[in-house]
Amino acid sequence: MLNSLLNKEWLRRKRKTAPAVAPVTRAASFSLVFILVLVCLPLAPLLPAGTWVLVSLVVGWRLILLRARGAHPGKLIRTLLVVVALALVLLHYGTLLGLEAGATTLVSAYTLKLLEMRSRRDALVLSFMGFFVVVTGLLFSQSIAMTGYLLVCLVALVSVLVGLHQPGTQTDIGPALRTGLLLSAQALPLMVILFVLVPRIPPLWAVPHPDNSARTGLSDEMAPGDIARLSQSGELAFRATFTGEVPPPEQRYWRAVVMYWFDGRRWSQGDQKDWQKVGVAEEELISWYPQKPAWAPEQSSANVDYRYDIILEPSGRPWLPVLGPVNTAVQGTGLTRDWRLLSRDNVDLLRQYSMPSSGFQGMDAELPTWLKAASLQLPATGNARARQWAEELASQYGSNTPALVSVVLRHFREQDYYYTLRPPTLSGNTIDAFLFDTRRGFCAHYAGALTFILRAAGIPSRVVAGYQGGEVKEGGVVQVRQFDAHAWVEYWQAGYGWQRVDPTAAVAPERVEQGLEQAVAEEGSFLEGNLFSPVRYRHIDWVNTLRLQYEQLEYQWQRLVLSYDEDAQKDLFKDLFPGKDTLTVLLQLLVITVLLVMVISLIWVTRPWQQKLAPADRYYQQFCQRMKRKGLPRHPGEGPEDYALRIKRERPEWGQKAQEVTELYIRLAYANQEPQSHEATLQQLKRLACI
Amino acid sequence: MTLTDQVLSGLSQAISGKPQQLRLALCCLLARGHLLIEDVPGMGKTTLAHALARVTGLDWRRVQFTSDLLPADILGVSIFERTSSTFRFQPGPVFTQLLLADEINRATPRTQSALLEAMEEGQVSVEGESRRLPEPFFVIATRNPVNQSGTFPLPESQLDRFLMRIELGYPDPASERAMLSGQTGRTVLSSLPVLMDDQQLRTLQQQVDQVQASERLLDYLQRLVAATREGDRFVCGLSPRAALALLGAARAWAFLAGRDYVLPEDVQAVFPAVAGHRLQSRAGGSVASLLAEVDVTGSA
Repeated sequence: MLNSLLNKEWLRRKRKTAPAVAPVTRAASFSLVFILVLVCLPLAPLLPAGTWVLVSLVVGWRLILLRARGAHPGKLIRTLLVVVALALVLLHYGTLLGLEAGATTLVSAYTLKLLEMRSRRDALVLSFMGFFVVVTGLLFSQSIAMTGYLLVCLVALVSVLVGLHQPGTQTDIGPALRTGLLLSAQALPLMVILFVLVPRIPPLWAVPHPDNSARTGLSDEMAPGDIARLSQSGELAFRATFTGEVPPPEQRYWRAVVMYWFDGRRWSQGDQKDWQKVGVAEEELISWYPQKPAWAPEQSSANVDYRYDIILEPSGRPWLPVLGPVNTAVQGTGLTRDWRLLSRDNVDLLRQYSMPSSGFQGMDAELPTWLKAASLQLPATGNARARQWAEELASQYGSNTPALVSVVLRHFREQDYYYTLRPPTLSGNTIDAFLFDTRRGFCAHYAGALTFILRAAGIPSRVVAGYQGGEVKEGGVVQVRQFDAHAWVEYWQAGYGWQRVDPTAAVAPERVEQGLEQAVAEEGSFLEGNLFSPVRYRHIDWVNTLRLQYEQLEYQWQRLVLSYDEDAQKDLFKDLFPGKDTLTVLLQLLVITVLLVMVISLIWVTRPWQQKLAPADRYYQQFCQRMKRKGLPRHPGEGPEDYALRIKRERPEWGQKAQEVTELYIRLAYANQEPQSHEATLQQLKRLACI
Repeated sequence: MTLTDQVLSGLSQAISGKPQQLRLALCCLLARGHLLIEDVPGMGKTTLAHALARVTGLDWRRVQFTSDLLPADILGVSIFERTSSTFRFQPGPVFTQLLLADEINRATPRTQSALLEAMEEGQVSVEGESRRLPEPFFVIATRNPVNQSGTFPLPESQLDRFLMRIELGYPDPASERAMLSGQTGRTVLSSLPVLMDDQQLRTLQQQVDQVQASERLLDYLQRLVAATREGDRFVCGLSPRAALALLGAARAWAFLAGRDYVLPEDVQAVFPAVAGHRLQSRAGGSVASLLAEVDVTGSA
């Protein structure tokens, strides 16, 4: 009976001390607004313009509310805002789900919750949503800069949670920030351990990949000027790491796309319809791993020239650039009839693969008729002057294909043809216009024109697009950027097979040997539309050093962290613990680590080497620490009551609190107290002393 | 207003301007200790003792110590009674509830020790026979620090028997004026109310014993005592008896403040009075600096 009465009393007190609806302090609200902006920034490029307006509007509203003006939105307005937010997402993406639409919906919900926030509970929900949005950012970029940024967001979120759990009207965010930093720092080693040790099993549910279709990169069509647009981008395309010798620039032609079909203006890979015209089915165009393609010769490892690993940036396309022709596929890829590597899915995340490569000579000594037909395809009419010239050449050289080709190349070299990033616009008979009138062009112009002439002269040929060159770094790494995109020509010679010929090299050999920047140095058009690209400033020493170091860091990040997948984990632990089952080893290590961490934290928390303080003394000393930071330290010989009196005398505004804390402490430390009220008093002291 | 507060206000009618000393004196009485007042003559020592006896309802006697005072003059003596032809014990002035021993350091060590046994044991031995002293038994002794000629200094071991030593000091002008105009002082003694009897005093003393001293407080008290023993502040540290006295005095002080538990501040309040006469300072050591340096809440 007595017990239950006491319990009730205790409950009553407890209720009295912890009010049900705790308001959110201004400091916490400001922090939450700030964090919302911080966290949503990485997702900003995704947001439709309407959502942008909505987010800014809501943040503005919240700021006005924080200045104690304006009114909280009513139920009607809130409902309206939700409907508008959802409608905006639907209008832009056509769905609420999916990766981009989902992220936008999440951002909208997060923002609207901010507007709705009134109680501490809302604030807690808001910060938890913040964690969710932070993780979403990683789906779109995993660069080291983004990871660092998101870590900062995490620390801010943890700090705001710490702040929300401190009662009272604390305005100084310093202590909360310190605690948040400390907590995050403590979690860091655990994060690393879990990253390394948690078994990476193939996902049961695949995260949808971001839509990379709008990225700059190669496309499966080429009109004159297309690649010139690409040349304005300093974005990384891929990194290749060679084991052993790095091939010289004139050998570094990375093949990605082969184009057969010309409609008078555009070159393209061709779709099913195009290929049906020459009567060929898909199986003859591509063979998926592990099938052995019928057209591939037996692989001999003797004539491998170079071995390399590639880490490909997300391109949103299936092409895997490779050096020269390949004759074997790897897992998840297919080998095309024209000796390229194709990924089964679009490359939406970083992709790593390794390839041996051999020189490009002598593939397809015999040409199937359908391929020959495709390689000779031309529109029925148009470009009459070019055709005429081709026929003249054909009659002059007959079947001496190399001589014919070299005549055309000599023509490019000796006549006043120019290599330029600012070619004039062409219309109508584009080949004629380029060859005989403007004579200014980029690689796409030259490659297209050469292929046209060769085909018109009866020589099977095709346009190949990909990358050429790249920047050689330490350790056999070649970095290839979008502006290294290039187009060249392959022609077929009976008995010899396909031969590579690069008409651009005839016009501007420095493009091939030294890269785009040198080739257009006089013109000054290198990355002209891209003021902020660090690559543009690589002639400035310190910018270049910084850039190189950052790239090195990013490369290591990709190599060591981002490509640590199931296979990498298996390999690592196979090396460390040979002959054991990786999963068992991982689980054992995990259990050991968890136990170790628990023991260490237990020791850290209890600190047996230190004189143990009772909780009451600990809280009281925290209080004394706080007062000390405010310039009123307790003298060692000063009793708690004297100290409280002195605080009251010197700083009357803190007197009330000092008195409360002191009373509670005295009750706990010196007075004879019934045990059941002890705990309640302790909690009260803890709350008061921690403010 | 509690009984003790009434006593204090009663006392302050006789001795004004000395609340701290009055409180210490009452505290000493409640802690069952004896009080040594060190001051020049005429500072109100006797008035204090008298007033204390009056308001507490104790009977009291006064002995003026001189160099020719003998133990029997204090303890009493057996005299032959002719009518009954037997020796009958004639109790000395020590058989009282409150004894004012004036200028105790003027008596010979032999006489001093006779009193000191009474103070410590609560009994006296006369002619081989132990006799209990009344309860409560409270001694207020005075000592003259200035007039040193013809005195026998009290050794430390005997000073240890006194719970507290206080100094009254000169009164402030207002109090002195009140005394001169007859509002306070000896003249009002007879009109002081009797506020309790010895039974009530005993009850109060028992209540003081019930005052709680927590582990933390005992830690602090022990730190204080240990600090007097360590280092070179003092020639000799506090004895265990002094530690016990300190605790008792602190309890009484807390009780006077209306609390049933002791705070470090209580210990600090009584510490100079309790420890001052037991400690002989070396250069740089003082009770005040000790109190300032020993941490109140720190770990032991």
